[in-house]
Amino acid sequence: MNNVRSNSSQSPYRPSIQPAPSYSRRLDAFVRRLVPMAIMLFVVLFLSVPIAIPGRSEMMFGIVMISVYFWSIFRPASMPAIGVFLLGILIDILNYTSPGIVIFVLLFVYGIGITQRFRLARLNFWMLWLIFTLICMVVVSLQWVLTSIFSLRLMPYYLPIFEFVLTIGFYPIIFILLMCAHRSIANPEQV
Amino acid sequence: MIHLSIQVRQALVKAILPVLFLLSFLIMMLGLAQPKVVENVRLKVTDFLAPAYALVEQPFEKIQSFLKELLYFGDLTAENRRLREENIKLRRWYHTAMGLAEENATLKNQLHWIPEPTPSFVTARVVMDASGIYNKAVLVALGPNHNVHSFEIVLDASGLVGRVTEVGNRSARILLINDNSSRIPVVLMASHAQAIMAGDNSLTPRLIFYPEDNHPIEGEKVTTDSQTGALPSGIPIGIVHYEQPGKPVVIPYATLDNLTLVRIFDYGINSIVAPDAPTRALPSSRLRRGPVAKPSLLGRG
Repeated sequence: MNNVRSNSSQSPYRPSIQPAPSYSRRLDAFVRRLVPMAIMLFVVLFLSVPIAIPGRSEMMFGIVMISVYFWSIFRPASMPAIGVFLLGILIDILNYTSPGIVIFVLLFVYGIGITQRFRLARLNFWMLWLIFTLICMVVVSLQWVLTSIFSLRLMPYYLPIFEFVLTIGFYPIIFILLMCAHRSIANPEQV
Repeated sequence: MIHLSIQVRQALVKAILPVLFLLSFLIMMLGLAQPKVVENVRLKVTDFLAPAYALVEQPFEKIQSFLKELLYFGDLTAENRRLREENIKLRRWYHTAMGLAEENATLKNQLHWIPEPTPSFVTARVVMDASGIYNKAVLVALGPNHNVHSFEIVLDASGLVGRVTEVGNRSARILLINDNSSRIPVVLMASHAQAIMAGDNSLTPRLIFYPEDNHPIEGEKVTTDSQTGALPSGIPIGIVHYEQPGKPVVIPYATLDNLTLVRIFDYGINSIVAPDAPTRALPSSRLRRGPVAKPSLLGRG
């Protein structure tokens, strides 16, 4: 009994009768659910402004990849497949690359995250980073191969390596920021 | 709202990811089969976004220039001294240049030199960096009744930036000279050799196809070559630099990583169509005036 009560104060699935959530409460939860997509939209649009940041386009794609991985594991309800697809289309349109490649690789990351999320969510930070490193390696090589095929020319080999190193290096910072967002502004349970 | 049973809804949720994968694959194929359609969609979207980006871009530029000024603030006296010395040097150069310009005008007058047409240009603001990981391009915002066409030449304050590739109603895309697909014929000013400047997505495009017996010299000036008829000659691009022995690159004058304002020049190159090589076989004999070579003579079936 004691155990149940201690759980019940934390768990959202409290087996008790509750008053229906008020209008403002529901609006609040709705907005919080949109936060992950909004953050990513902001990153994509913001990093298209021509400011002198070295590695801007690599950074943009890296942050988007990390975010898709993170939210598909920890809050898949806020990151629907169709949202990932539309985000990929937006990046493709803004970047003038061969269309479809970004969508394909983002869906690849999302597919891994969403299908393995019960296993991945139990892992600690270091294991998640290690697995992301492997995924990133696959994604970056896939992108290189597809771009080379579609432009009928071998792309420079150092571009995917740079992209890979930058994304892996950025992972801890983005992870911490997203974890903060996950516990605060992106959490629909929070009052 | 259509009410579906739980089973159907679950099946739909499971099916959505494979369907989206398939769709992304179809988009890839569409880009390959119908590049014009994809291009049009992109131009529509960027036409819509360009004015918005133009609004957003200005405060960013202000912040950036403010930060730059903060950095200069540290050594104002040293900077002032440097500028004063440079000013003296520049004044000397000004007088030299004025003298040379006068002399040039007199000589041209004596030779009855046909004056070269002055190209018209428009200045546009770079509002968006359209570079991906494997390409380098920027978007400029244009007014609704602009007169910019594709293949026009783009310069910033100091050198060649690239060429206009797609033009929409309110925006135009510029392919930069360091894009992976950019190949530009150039002339090296000191060694008088011709070469091709090939972009590789880094800030310093490579020089390729220079003569074996006449290697580029470190620090020499690189300008465009008009031999292919694609570019007017003499547009400054940058200087030669050897990053490694045997691998010359061009350091462009233009600040390709931080473009704010660019000038789009109309050299009227579009009206000049390169003549066909005299030996080239045309597909139709109707276009030819003289006797038509038999297919067997051309080495085909």
